[in-house]
Amino acid sequence: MKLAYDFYKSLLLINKNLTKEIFLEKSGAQSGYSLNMFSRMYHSVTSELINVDLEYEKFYSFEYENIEQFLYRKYNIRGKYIDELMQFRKDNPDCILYRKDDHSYGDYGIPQFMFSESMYDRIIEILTLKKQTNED
Amino acid sequence: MKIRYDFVTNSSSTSFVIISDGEFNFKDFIEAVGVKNDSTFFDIYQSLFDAFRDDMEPAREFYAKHYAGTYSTFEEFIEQKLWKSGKEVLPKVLEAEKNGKKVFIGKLSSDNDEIESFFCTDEFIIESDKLFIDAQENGW
Repeated sequence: MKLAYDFYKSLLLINKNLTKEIFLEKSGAQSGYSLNMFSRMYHSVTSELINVDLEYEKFYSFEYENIEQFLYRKYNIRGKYIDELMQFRKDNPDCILYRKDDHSYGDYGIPQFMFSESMYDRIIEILTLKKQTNED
Repeated sequence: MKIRYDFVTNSSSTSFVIISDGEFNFKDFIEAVGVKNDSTFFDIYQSLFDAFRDDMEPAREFYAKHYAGTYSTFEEFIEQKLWKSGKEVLPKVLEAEKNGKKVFIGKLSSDNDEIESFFCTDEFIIESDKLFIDAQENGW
């Protein structure tokens, strides 16, 4: 699950067991241009990830009483989206909540494409290591 | 008189060169791209193949039709029109022609759909024993 907030920033739920090898294997890219392209996708989505739980615990837990309040007050995430994120986390305990700058990787096209309408469900399925359902 | 209304957006195109040993075909293309046949992303490379196939023209015909008035020779056209990689591509093109391979030129456009738009803005080479595709002339 990916949720955009602020200017070109996103919250992402990514399975803690995901590795580059698994990402590439699930993409079906094995050599040549496809391997290069999906490697860049993996590097793009994992570059400069900030673990939101750790960030909250270490720096903000004295200020906000729980992570929901932290997301609502610090990052201005709407309540209904926080509920969705928390529900997704509950249903997928192996997923870690991260935040990142969308363009931290320096290649504008790759993140734009990997979360485009044509790619979104398939990419999320790999990132969460879970089959997508309509509710996701 | 033309009056433009609604949003005005940027569009771009990327020139490509295809050198193919025989007809440009999907099987050789997919082998060169390196994606598995059962990949869930197989369709995006099908779209890329279609985009190439729909726009490509034999290189010398393309030159004669569109650029003979601008560049005095075919060689000059390849070297200068492909401003990023023309100098490296020209010897490959000439060698390929000498060996009876087919050489095509065309362009990917950002105006068609989001898949072609991505490939249009990416810079890449697809290469195998049978196929060489240079799509590095990214105008972005």
